[in-house]
Amino acid sequence: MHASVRSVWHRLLLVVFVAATTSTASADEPLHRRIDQAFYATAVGPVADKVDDLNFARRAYLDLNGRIPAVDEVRAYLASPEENRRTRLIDQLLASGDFSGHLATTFDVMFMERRGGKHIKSDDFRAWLKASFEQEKPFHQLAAELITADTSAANRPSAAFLLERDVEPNLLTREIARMFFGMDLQCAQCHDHPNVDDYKQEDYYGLHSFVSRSSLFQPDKKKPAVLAEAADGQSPFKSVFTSREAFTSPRMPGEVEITEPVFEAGDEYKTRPAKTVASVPTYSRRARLAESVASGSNHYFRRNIANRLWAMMMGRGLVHPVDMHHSMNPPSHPELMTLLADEFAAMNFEVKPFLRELALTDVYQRSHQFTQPQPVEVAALGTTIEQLQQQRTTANDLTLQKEDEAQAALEQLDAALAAAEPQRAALAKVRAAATAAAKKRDDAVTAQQAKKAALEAKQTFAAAVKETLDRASAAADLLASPKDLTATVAILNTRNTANTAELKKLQQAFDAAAKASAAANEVLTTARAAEKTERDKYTPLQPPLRQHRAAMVKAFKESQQAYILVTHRDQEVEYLQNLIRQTDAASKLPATRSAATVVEQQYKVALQSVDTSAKQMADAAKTKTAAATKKATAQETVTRLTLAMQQQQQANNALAAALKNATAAASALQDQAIAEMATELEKSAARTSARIGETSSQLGVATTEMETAGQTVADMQAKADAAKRQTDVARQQAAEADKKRTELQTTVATLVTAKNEADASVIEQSTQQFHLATVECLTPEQLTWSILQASGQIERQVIAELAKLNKEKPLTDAQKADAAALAKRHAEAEAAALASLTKTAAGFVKLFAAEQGQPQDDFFATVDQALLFANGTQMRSWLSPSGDNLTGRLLKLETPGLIADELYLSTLVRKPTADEIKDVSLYLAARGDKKKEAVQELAWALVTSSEFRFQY
Amino acid sequence: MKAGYACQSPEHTLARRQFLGSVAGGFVVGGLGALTNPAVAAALERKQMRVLVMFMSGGLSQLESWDPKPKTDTGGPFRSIPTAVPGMHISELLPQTAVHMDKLSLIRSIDTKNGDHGKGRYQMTFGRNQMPGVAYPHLGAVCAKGLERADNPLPGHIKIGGGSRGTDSAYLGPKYASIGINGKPPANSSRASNLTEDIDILRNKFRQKANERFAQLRRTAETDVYTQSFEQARQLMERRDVFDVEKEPGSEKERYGDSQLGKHCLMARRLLENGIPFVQVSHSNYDTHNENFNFHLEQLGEFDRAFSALVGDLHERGMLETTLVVVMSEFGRTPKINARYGRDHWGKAWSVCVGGAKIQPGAIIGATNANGTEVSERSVEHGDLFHTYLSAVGMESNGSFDIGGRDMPIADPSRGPISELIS
Repeated sequence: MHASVRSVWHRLLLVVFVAATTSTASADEPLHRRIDQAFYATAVGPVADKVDDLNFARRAYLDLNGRIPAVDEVRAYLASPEENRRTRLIDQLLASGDFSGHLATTFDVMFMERRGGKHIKSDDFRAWLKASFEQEKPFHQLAAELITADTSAANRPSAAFLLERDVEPNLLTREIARMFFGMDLQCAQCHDHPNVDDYKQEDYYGLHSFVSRSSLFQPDKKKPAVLAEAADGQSPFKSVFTSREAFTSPRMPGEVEITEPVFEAGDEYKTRPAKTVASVPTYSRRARLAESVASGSNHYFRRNIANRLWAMMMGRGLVHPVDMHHSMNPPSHPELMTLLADEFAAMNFEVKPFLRELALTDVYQRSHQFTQPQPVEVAALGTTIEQLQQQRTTANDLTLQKEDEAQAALEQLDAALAAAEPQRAALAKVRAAATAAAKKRDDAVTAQQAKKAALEAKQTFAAAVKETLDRASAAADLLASPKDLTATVAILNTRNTANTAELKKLQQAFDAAAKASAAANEVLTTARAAEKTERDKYTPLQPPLRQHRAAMVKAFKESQQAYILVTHRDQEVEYLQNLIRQTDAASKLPATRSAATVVEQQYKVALQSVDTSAKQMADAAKTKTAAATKKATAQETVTRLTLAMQQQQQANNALAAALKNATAAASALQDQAIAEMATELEKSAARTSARIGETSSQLGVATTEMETAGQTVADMQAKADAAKRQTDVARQQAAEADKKRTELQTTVATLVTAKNEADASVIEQSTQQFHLATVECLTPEQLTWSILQASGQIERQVIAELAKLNKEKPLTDAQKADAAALAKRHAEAEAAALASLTKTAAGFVKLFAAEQGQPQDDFFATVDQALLFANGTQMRSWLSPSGDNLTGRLLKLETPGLIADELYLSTLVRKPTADEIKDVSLYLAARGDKKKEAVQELAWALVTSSEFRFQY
Repeated sequence: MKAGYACQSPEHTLARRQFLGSVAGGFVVGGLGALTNPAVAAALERKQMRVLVMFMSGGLSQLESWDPKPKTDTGGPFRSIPTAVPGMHISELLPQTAVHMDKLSLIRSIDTKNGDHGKGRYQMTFGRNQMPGVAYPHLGAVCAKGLERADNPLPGHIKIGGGSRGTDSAYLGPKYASIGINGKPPANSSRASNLTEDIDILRNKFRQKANERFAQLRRTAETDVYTQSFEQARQLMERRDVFDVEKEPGSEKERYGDSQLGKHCLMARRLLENGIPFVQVSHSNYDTHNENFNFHLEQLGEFDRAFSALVGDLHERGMLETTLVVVMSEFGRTPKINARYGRDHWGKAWSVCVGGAKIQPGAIIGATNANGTEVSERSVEHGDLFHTYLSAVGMESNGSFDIGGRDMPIADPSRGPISELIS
């Protein structure tokens, strides 16, 4: 995996951002190739390499079967021949029963956003979806069935989409727009969307008109709810911002108003509304919407579903969020979006083969990481940016032009609406009158029929009485009036007379009713005629309305499409600028870093030199100080000795004078004593002389010492002065180096920040452009089923169910030898296990899912979830060793290497690295003889790790 | 005594006496909360704003509380009394609260044009009129998100007295949905008996190492959030006693009153002290179609004691500056007294009491006419109140949440805060 980044630079200048799609050029190629061609045709910048085999397998299992593979499945996959291994896996997963189950779950969550259970159980709706996918029902048909909402017993789950929303027209409008056309029109209920120019109140009410006549019908709460639909009702609207008032016939997004049949008043219902009967109009607008959807021709319908399926596989839509198709949120690849929408339609909206093609693309099999940066040719990017900006300008001009056209058409439309309004009101009035007349006529006819029935019943009865009377009279005549018979005849006679009177009354009532009926019919005929007159006046006013609206919608759609290019080019430019920033920072960094290193070195040298000279200076100063001390001491000695010598000299002089005098006196006086004294003086003078000599020599020494020290002081001063000069120079150099160093450090830091920011942006934008696989959380279902799979709970449950079945309904010996019978039994056990685990999973899923009726694609991690993982009893029980479940298998393995291998393959669907094996080994060692606990802890740690939680 | 309520709202299905009787033993044991130390609490409140909602379920009578009209045809038997704010009078049923009115303010001019319990509750706690097909987050969810602190692992949106997790956070996601606290620590917050703390640390270290390895390859905001949630869970496990009101001394319980509401208010104080952004306490049941006066006498006695103790404590502990207190209902009650001495549903002219955080204390916003039959000055509705609450805790109420690339206005964009009430 080291030649990891594919460079696409060579394509750069050839085919960058050409507006034409490349699909036409290669229509014979399989779709996945054409998708990749469309992708590479406009790809600029680094594209991650193919993901490795095991990572691919994990991805494919999660996306197509809703769970990670079992360890046996992983091993089987690794053992299969490498050639076409991935294609074979995709086909195997698409053929598996888990595929339609996973699709059913995904579509249930997508359509219902975790609603359900009010009128139709979620399980029933999922089962219906699953059956639909098993029959490979095309998506446009499925969508049409959801809107048709047939509540008859066989198809009742298909009515979930409507019934679970209580058939509330505004809610339905919003949800149909989101789910089937990819547009969140909610704001447009009250005004044009304030932030999204594309979402118009006109669009909202165009859709609203299709469903506004439908309602939930449940007169008896004990009986299942059904749908009723009225034959009349418009969707007039008024903007709370601009007060613009208008109304529209039903209209599919981006299309012209549909033309509707007109039925004469009285013929507009198949079943008239009544207290206990759900009304059925002769012409159903909802059925008309279903029909339009079933045609699969709508631009937005095609793009929405193609984009949603893409998002299912790739982790995000080309348009993202998937219910925000508008020109300020362009597809990451406009041409690819068109290709997908057209090709899915060309495949007759069949989901499975389309998903297969998506799974086979390079895009799907991309790695989630760049391992090595790729140099970027900045100059070429500059040219590309210019081209893109040029295209942007052109597109922007077109947008403005088309917007003006749309605005002009809107003004014409409003003028025409205003002009037609009196006639429309007049028609509405006579239509209402005609409808009322029709109702009266129908009531009169019903009354007439009732009278007729009463009359006829009475006639039958009267005839019978008369006949009995006649026979009784005849008998009485024959029997000569026996007493009892006479009484009977009398009673019959009375009755007969009464009958005659009653018949007369009933006949009169019937005649009156018939007359009333005829009169009502007369009124109706007049009313119809009046309606016709007004309608004939109104009809010619309609085509201009339709034309203006059509012109407006067309111009508007064109401005939208032009603006998609504007925003898309802006995004591309931003991406390229980030690439340049990244490259720029990356290319400047090494030079700046090495310059910084050089200056750092210089700084160090200068600092060293400062140190050296400062030290020299200090040494000189120290020597100087010592010499100065020495000099001072010598100076003192010289002074002292000089003084001593002077005294000695004076003494000597005095002695010499005394001796001279004494000698003279001795010779003059010839005094022995004096002579002796003179001798003593002589001796003393000799001693003094000697001492002077001594002092003199000492003085000589001291003087020399003093002079030497003086010299040293002078020398050291000079030396210190020189060292100081050196220090100053070195300090200067160090300061300069330091300044430069700081500057460079700042530059490096700035570059690093710029690069990190650019890296993050490039990663993000690369992900948005599918140059790099997304890192997305597993859906609540994927997570739950992956935990069940990894822990071995699925197999455990199947084994339990199998044992239960074999006990309840043991297989005969013949069956035991029959592979088909065994497989059937196994399938039964699997189904039972699935049903039981689905219940278990529901609690788990609830904690990880967003609120009902809210978008389900937003990731969140709560403390509750973490607490459940950390301390929940269920997790603990799933991870406790039992038979051949995960921890059971781990417990049986001997070496840390084998344990690590089984553990990582089972949970993270990959082999452990050497470091990871070492960590497992250390963990096991740390837990000593508690191996049973240790393997549970290890399994827990990996199942709760982020690698397990995310799809990458 | 079971109230013979005229309408069949869910509020009426529970007899009030049963409610009061179910109080005993609602809370279980545990250790001391981490932040009962006043110094730590003081440090915390400087950083974080909080919201306390007292929800007077069923519809508190404004005439027997915040906007009395004694000696008028609608005023009923109770007098009004002066409060700590000169000129501000409230009903004599709230003598202890009256002492604290210098910390609180009144909004007396609410017109929500609605007399339906469900719709009223929605208006007042979601800040908008309920519309089919559109779900907005509850005030508590908005506060839990807007006032969220990364270093506090405790749940942000709590309803005292409830049971499970609510579904009231709409697009903000379950993280901000209400959690009903009934005296027990949150589910799964204690370690399995056979797992020691040392071993738990050991296995978590192994998990963290695996996370670090994965993050080296590719790291996203989402992977970070996921790994952090385990750290938050660990912190929560250490602080699970926060939810145990029995740790409060007996004298405190006495001050708050021996009622369910008293316990709930004490619990609220404990939670607010621990930095939980939103706490709601409910008091049932004010839906007094019969015997309005007897019921208010009794109910408000309970309320007055507990609420005044709570406001006093928040003030003394310096927490009122950062805690918005709101006493609200789904609506008020009719000025007209019916034949059963009751008052009926009334959304046309009623009151709310607010205080703390950035609310100007001692203010009176708006007024009703002499006998309270209509708003005479500064009419406001639920949307304005919602903006006001958020502004009072420093949130930009005109801003939006970005939900997966979709812009969701925090409050009804066509309304705005009562700016003269915000300091």
